[in-house]
Amino acid sequence: MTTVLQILADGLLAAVAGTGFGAISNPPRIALKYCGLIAALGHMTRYCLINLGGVHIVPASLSGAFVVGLLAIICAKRVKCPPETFAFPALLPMIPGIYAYKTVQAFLLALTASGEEQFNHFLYICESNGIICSFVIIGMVVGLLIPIYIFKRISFSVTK
Amino acid sequence: MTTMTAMNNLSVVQSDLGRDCAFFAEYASNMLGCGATCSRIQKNIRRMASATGYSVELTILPAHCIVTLSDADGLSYSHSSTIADLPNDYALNTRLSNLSWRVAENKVSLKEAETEFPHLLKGPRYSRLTLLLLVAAANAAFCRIFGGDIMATGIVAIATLIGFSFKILLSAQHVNYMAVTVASAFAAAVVGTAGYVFPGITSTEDVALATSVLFLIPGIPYINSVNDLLTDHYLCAFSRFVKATIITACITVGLTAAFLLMKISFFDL
Repeated sequence: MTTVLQILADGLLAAVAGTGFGAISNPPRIALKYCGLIAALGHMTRYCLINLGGVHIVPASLSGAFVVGLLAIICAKRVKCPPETFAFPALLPMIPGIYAYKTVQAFLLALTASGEEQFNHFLYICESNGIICSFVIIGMVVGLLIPIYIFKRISFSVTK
Repeated sequence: MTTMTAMNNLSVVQSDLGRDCAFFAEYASNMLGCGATCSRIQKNIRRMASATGYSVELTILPAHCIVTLSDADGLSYSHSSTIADLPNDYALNTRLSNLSWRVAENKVSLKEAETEFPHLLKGPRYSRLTLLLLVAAANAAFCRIFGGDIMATGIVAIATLIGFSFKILLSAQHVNYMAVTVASAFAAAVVGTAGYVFPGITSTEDVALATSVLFLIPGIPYINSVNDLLTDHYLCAFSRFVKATIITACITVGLTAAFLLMKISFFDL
């Protein structure tokens, strides 16, 4: 029961994040609620894979983004907007912000490090977080583009 | 006389071609400015061009786009346009994509589309207050996702309200986007350090500080960049990536300035 609540809480928070960050990109009003819904389902997929399936964050993000892409195509057909309108804002809660922050933080710490050992330590943290951050973003976009390009005809004709 | 008429006809054709080419260039420039992917822009332009008997080539450079339009007689015309400086706008992307379909299906002529185009650029946007509240709630939710406690979530919500207000106000004054990002990150991070300045109010002060500036991370440009990279638009992918990286670097500058002001050492983090 607790696990189900945690998954739902994760989805709710992702929906709020997806809607809020999505609004910055000015999607059509009717599309905004779908951004939140898709963000929730995509993030819940990733949450389940990481926390219940023990999957690494990179393939888990790819799978979450694949779900986002599929749902975006369904919604795009319904609302007659490009799938990117839903898919890109819905991906934003999955952007590995903390990894990006730790990369920059470790880089700055490496700049101010006093000795070789300390410098190597911070450089290691910078590189390890940076690699994960980059691959999560690439995985997310690849996962999103697979359904968009499989259903290319729908993706590029929904605004008819 | 015949030569004069032929020359006049030629100049009319050339002027039509020039006008249509300028329209396609403006269309591409606005689509690029509002955050559309290169593959969508290319498809939209080709769709309109083939419906009106033209063939079109689009060259996308970091700050400009060049459209070369050729008619059935082999006459061609090129027009270069500066990429419009617009915020991401999916509603505009939708309206312009819809226009391309209406031209392709002969529901409107190219001339009518050219007349309608400037009106389509002036669509509604969310009010500043709505945007402010939605972004503050989104960033607070982000903090919670990353494991922040209730107090950290509150700190992030306030930090985002202040930081995003700076962004809205400075952007309205047409301040350079780098200065806007540095100032907004600085304002948000100063509030985000509350957990360090007042020890004990939250047990996740590091999450609060890290999340306080995340609303400024240019997520859509990063995603667009990888999208363009995977669809063979390497130059545009690189230029979008560089711009997004510059914004990220500006966030770091603002964050570092806040650390210095609040006398927080990187080693405290």
